[in-house]
Amino acid sequence: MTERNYWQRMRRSRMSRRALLRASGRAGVGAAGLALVGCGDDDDDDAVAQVQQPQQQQDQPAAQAQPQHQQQQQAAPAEQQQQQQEQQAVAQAQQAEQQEQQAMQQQQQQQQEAVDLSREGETDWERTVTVAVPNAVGGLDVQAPGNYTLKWNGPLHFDQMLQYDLVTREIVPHVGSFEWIEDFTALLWHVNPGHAWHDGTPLTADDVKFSIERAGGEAAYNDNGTYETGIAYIISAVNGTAEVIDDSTLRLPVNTDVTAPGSVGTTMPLVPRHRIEELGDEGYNRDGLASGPFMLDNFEPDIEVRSVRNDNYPIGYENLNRKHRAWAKEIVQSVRPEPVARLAALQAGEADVAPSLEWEIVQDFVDEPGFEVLFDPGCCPHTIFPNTLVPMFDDGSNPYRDIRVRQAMNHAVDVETIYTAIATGREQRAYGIGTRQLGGMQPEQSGPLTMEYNVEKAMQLMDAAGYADGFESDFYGTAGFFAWTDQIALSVQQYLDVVGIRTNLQLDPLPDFRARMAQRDVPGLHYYFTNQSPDPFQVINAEVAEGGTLSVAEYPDSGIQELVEAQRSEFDPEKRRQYLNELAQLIYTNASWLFLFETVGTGLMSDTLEWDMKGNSRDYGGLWGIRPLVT
Amino acid sequence: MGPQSISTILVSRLLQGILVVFVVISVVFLVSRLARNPVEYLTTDETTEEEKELLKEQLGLTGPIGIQYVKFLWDAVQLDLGNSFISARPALSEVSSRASKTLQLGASALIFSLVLGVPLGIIAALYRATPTDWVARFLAVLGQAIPNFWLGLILIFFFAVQLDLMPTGGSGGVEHLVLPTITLGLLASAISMRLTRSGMIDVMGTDFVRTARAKGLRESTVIWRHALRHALLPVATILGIQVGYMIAGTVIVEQVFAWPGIGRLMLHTILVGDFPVMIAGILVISTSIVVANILVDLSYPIIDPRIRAGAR
Repeated sequence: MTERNYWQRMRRSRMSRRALLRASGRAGVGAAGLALVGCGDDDDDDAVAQVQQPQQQQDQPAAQAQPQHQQQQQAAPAEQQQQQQEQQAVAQAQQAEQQEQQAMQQQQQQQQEAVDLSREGETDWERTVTVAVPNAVGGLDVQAPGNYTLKWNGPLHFDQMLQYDLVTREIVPHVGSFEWIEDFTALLWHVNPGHAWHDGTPLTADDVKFSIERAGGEAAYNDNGTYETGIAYIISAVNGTAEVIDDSTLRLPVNTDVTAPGSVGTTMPLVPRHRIEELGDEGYNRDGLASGPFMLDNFEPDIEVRSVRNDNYPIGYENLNRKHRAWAKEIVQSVRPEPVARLAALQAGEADVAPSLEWEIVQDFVDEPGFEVLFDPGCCPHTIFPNTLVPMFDDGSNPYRDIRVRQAMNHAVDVETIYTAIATGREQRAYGIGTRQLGGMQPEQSGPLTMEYNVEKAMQLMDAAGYADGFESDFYGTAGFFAWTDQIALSVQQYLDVVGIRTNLQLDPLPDFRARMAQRDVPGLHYYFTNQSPDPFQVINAEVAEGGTLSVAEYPDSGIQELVEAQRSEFDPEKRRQYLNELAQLIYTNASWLFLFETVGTGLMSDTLEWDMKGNSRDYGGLWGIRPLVT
Repeated sequence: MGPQSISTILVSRLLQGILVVFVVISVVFLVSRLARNPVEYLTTDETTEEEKELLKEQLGLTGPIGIQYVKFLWDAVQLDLGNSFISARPALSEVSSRASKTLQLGASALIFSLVLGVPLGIIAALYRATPTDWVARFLAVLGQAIPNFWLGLILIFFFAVQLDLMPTGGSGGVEHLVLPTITLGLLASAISMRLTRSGMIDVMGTDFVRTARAKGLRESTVIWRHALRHALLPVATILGIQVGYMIAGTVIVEQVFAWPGIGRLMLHTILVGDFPVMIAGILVISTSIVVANILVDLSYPIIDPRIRAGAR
């Protein structure tokens, strides 16, 4: 299988405005003409490199691609007339056609492979899979405040321009692909053919423009002219008005100092202009329309969500590491708020999957016939952030500004014992930001650097820092957001107490906790986590960068901020990886935080299903990946 | 001062009820605004403070609390409690769409508690200090002692998982109502049983029961027509309070059985700070309790002729 990594293959390339306008003019001939000429067809003398061909065909199944090919052949006469007038254009068109044919061949080969990957005979294509989910509240508008993170809706029904490969964690094309143009001051988005809203309306560049503007708070269609979504940060690098070149091409001006793909709208959920303009924001929230692998069939808030397979979903089974056409005919998310009731539903045969169950509940089912225990890999590294921004004591001092105190904290806590005793025992130490694939600490790096449990060393460090008698500190944590956070916080409190860090523990609901942390002026320890986004730019922006929304542990002379900025403005992916790796190491060796461990989520499902999320969390956000097996 | 007429009692109770509802929703409004910032629930780690401020403005959460309160009251009088922050549906619609489910569960649990508790109380009183009485009293203590959360899970385990007789949760047919009804109604039935028993024991020793027996009336007539009417007065009194307990109990029971009623909605709205729905829910619940108590007050004269005579 061909792995074409967009992020890796990105090259320094440039497309001039003239070329864009010319391409735009050609679009007047028709979409087919544009497809032949191609947006990467740059004949401008100033062009320094050939623009990378969008890889829109990569995920396109042959069934979809064949009509497109025929369409291009039908459009050929119109193109030939134009070619007669412009000999140069003819040559380019022929070249583009050859490339197209090559892509077709490659695609046919992928399609052949896809047939095998879909495992036609082993899959029960007619089966309805019922999932007992903890909740299904909120609205259907994935961009509405609070709805962006709803797992029962977004991933199943909606699409994004790009996505993260589940194995490599690298960003890859999905509904579209992009290329940097004009010396990295703009992006050119290409919408892949075949994508359509569930009512059959084609998904176009205009929808992408609309989605970007709406995510940013613009809403010309409603009376206010604005619609605050609370997710404008996902397009924080966009610094101008998007320009629709044609139905499948969009030019987006961006800041030159932000390179993380996630900040240019790549993971922004796409919403349909026509439906929202028709229904308004509130109407759309009640009667959503999406383009993803499942179509919403019925939504009874807090009772049931019924979704049917989108058989026209253009992304087939070529690459199972990415979001693709579903196997199950129907997914029913049946609400069971109580974990034990979810388990009961599974045992009684009312549900096939019971995600998000505590280890105490599922551990008895590890060897139980008929069930499969779902172990998610490490997620959301638990971390305790010391506030170094404000004084802790009347004399203006703050012990956490001393690296020896922070090292002592890390040596004082027996992380392995905590997760073995309290959690599943499959957890791993956390080393801070980022996944290993995208510049995080590599195993050979983290091993020797690990601050192992060593009370004696911790006490020596406290002594050396002038805190032989210890000190008192506030310690804030979240109550009930993750399993075991209460017990973990209590354990950490006792370990710290041994080396003289006497803490007053206060546990609050997550929003209250986060609001306090966001004030950034509350001294003490803040027990939070770093998220598991494949690209750590969000963690860096929010929790590492100076002035970040949750940055309470800042170390001005450590070199961390310099690396934050270096990775932020680095377009070369390899160099950015290096910067991220250096940053991860520096954050750890600086003992910036108290590093705990990555949590392992657990769940349970029937053994008549297969659900390989390639190392990603198998909570109910990835239900499109469930394959019912023939039994 | 002479005895009050029924209409006077009714008007008085209604005015009291309106005052109670007003005070309740005012307290909930003020406490929720001061204690919770729902914007934190609607945003993520990366949302900037500027975005949060804009969102607060969009949700009508900016400006002095006094002005917000006055606007809230003005809208509330017109039964406009705003839209849910989460679903964007009108808050009252959100609640009313769940009200029928809670009413269904509450009514069935109330009926269950009376059908089980009252006869058991009568039997226990009639067979006082016998094994029958002991068993009935033991069951009553058990009903009061078992937490309904635990009871619900045990019932699910036995009747849904082991015996496959009932669904584990959700809503739909009558079968979905059985286990939640038992879970919610058991405590109330225990209370009804104890009150009926003690009331019956008191009444069976009174002069008018002796007179009824002396007149040669059949024992069943003495019990059902004469004794029970008087013994049920405390049961009727407690019924108004039971409605409140039942509504409070639905929060837990609806959560365990995934019953889509007001209780579960309230739990969620409190957790996420969905103020409009929270206040709409409180409004509906407090109004229900007030109405239930008024109905109980009005039922006294029907149950007890002495009160009817006094009112005249």
